[in-house]
Amino acid sequence: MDPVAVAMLANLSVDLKKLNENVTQLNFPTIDLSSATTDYLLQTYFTAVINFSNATEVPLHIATPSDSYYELHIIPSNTGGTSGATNGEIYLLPNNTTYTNAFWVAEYWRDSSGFSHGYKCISAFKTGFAFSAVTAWITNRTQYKNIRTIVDIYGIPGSWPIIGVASTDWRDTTTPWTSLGTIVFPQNSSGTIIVFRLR
Amino acid sequence: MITRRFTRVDLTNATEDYLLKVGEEAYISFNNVSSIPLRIATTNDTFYELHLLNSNPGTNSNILYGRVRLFPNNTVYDNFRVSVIYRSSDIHGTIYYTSDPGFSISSSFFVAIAWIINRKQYKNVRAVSNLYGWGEYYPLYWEASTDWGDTTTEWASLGTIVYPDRASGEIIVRRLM
Repeated sequence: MDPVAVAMLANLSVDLKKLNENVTQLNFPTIDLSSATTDYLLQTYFTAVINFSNATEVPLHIATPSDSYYELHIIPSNTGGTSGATNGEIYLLPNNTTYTNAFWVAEYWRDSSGFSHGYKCISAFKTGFAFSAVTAWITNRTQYKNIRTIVDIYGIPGSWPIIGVASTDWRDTTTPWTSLGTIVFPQNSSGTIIVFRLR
Repeated sequence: MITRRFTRVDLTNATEDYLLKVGEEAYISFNNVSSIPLRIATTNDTFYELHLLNSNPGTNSNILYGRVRLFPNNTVYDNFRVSVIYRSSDIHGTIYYTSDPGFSISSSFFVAIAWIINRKQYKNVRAVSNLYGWGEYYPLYWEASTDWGDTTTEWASLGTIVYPDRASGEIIVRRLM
């Protein structure tokens, strides 16, 4: 059976008093997309969970329409410390592809040596760096596409922790964003991704 | 219309830890105290969202300045690593410690959202808050991330939040994983 239908059946509770108002309450309906091979259209207020192990690329397998909005968490399971990761960025590739120099990121962070900031052109949404615990908010409107993040970075010398904040705009107002995309790490990474669709 | 809801458990008067399930949220009200035990049992590989809302009046003079920390397992350890960025009325500043006694949530009075990761090998709290109640801190915007510099100790009780002075308010803890 379709996992969306399974989650609805498992979590559906109907408040009879509100039935006439056509309101349905769902208790944390969750769909495990760890082994998905095709995109699922996550419905509003549904949650997707993706577990990954020793991977550099994690396709989310979530179909997305225009005018949708998500909260995403990456909960890494790599061991805390100052080694094991690579000095490189974590990206979300919308539609599972890169768009050369179509994105701009504004960011700042505090590592053990001090405060830094940046503003630069990139080819996908910046999501983190090295190993990162990530909370992100994703706006998908065809005419305005953005990801904002707050992250804890670790796993590289001189860091543990780094607090980092970033916002990336996809400077394209016509291309439809139809697949939420693929998370690409700079090294083998493990953990769990949770995606809430809020709109 | 569809709405998502968390099942609420009121732990205001709890005397022992309650194991919060995924999809449940704990509610804790506190009044004029400096120490708030959350009374939430936690296990390895869990993830939470915490909201803390002080109810003290907006002011710049009603509390001693000092950081507000979460002490996991209701215990003081000495190996927390903290990175903070903030903006007060006059400066933009940062803080970096490698031997703090607990997870840094905020300072003085505040409203905050925090994300809590409990994996034995990686334990982290990130918090975003607005401070008030001391000196020029009305408002002060504060972003912090604390890693517990210990990759082997079991985190079994979510812990106790400790203020530098008495405070009132509410806490909501949602278990997301």
